Amino acid sequence: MTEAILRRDTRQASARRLRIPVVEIVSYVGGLLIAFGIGAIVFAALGASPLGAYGTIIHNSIGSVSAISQTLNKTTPLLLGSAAVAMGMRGGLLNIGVDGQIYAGAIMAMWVAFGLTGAPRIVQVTLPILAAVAGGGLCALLPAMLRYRLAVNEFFTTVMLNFVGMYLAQWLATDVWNDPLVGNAVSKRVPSSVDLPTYNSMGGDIGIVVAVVVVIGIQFWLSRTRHGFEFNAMSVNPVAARMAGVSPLVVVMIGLVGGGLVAGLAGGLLLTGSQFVLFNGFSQNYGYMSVLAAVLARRNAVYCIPVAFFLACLLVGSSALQATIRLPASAVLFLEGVVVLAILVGVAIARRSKFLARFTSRRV
Amino acid sequence: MGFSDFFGSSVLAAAVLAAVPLLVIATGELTMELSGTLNLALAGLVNAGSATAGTVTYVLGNRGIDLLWGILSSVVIGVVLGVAFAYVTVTLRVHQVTAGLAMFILTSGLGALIYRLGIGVTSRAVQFETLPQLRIPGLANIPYIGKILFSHNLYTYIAVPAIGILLWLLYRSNWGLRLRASGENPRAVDGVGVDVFRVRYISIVIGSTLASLGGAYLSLVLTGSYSPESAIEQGWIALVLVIFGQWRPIPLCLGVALFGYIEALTPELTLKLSSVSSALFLMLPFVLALAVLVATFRRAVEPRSLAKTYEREVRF
Repeated sequence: MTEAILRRDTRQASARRLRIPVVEIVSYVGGLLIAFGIGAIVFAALGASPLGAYGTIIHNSIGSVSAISQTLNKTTPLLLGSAAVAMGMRGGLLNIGVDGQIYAGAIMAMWVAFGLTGAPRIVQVTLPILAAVAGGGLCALLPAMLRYRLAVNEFFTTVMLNFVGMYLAQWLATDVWNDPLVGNAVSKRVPSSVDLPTYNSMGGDIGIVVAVVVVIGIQFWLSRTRHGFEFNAMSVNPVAARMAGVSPLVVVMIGLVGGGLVAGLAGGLLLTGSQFVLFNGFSQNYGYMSVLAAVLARRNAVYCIPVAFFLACLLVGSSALQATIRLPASAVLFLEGVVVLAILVGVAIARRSKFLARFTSRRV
Repeated sequence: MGFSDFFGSSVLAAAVLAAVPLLVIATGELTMELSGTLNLALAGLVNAGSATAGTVTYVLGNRGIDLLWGILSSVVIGVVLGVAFAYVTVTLRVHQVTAGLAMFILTSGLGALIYRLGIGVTSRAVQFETLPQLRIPGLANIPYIGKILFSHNLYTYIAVPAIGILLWLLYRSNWGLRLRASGENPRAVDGVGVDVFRVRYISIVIGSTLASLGGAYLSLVLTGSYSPESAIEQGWIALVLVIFGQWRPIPLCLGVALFGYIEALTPELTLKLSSVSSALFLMLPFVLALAVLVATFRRAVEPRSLAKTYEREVRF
């Protein structure tokens, strides 16, 4: 009986998502246009031609093979991070500790990488990545257990762990793994034998392939397996799910620890793929951007792929603007925030208008 | 390390200095949460206020009187961002957590942008004029206490009593009762003819303004420079302090004092124990905040409608 209810509820939930979202499409396009308009005003205020600035962004993010390689390298952490957040959101959990989990993953990967000299190449490449996955999971285990045992809101614990992870990385980079010859603020480079293989000579690493495969796997797992079914059931109808024998532990384990494993993977791939050294600032606000990406992707891991790529284009393109018009590094956060707020407002206005409401799907 | 390293008048005076912004920011968030609004953009608001206050002061000439305009400008940006957040969450009924996070990311980038637009690119971080120390005649000469409590600045002397009055109003006045009731049972408040939407608008604007003002303190009193990282860190700590205070005034003030004390102690400890990396001391408040969350979350009874949008037409 309860199982029938659950099947109905989860089916309805997915049916609602499948309806053609006219208003959402209009809101997304409108939100982007508003954000680009505000961006143009900002660029003009900084004394640059807005068209030129957007040209720089496009040219430096997708204008050449090396630009695309750089953008794909940045897509990796954003994609995995947003998939991690989306996993939590599907279970009604908000994991904004992706930054902390990326740091935890990178720290574990580096630690393992230093101890692997002389091992076969395949071991040297894979073991740090696996360690990173474990590190991210460990970092998420504490919020998950606190949520499960003591009902402490995962939101606050994951934020605090961001700062703990960041300063832990700073400590390791400036103290334990520091090499004064490389610099005071950064750690030693990981041995080059653990570097991820590259697919071209411009530094494009295979991390993005791993990320896409993992994200598709997550989507499959959540929509086609028993665990995914239980997880979705718990978020659409917790009472019926409990009656049917679904453990609430499943929710925190998949939503938070699962997300942590994925975010940890991002940290590992980032370290051995493109950064190679650890420092405070290793994760360039990937966690916060991931939350936005997950909201934009409507909690769907596969939709995260285009969203993460788009955000990566903005990130890489705007870092080129740092050099040309001295745009502050965090200005990209402002633009992304405007995009998301404009879209949220657009959807909300449409839903409140009786005429437009007929075209709206229920879930945001 | 001896007694005076931990309880000397200079350490305790520094603790008061560090606790004032936390008090202002945390009370701002408390005001919003009591009316049922969880504003996760808090840290970003602190950041925006801090950047605006410093930038306006610097652009106007960086003299003593410009500090006033700097502080006023942080009020303006706080009101603007507060009204925007209230419009999105109260009028448009967007989910508070989603809107708050988007707003947080927007405002955490806004600070650096304001700074860049106003001040431009400098090789070193510019130094803002800071509020002068104002020793209260007579009281400041009391040994020990005088240095801790009465050798601060105009901001502190106005802010601390003002926050006291606000807390008193929140918990002891009719206005505060309505505000808190809107966070507990908005339907009942609506039923007796009080406009819940208005109450929430007012509380959000007050709260956002206080957060922004707390940011102004960071750049115009505490450091004399703008640091987005430390503004954002202070904001998150203040958010945790509201939980630590269990939505009650006295525990909130105790939490503020504790974290102010820790922040005052950090530079001393870093100097004294130079063999330990400073990063570990910087981590300390967050580890403590985690411990605090675990210890107090169970007992804390949050406002029943916290983070719930009030919708008149919905049946339940």
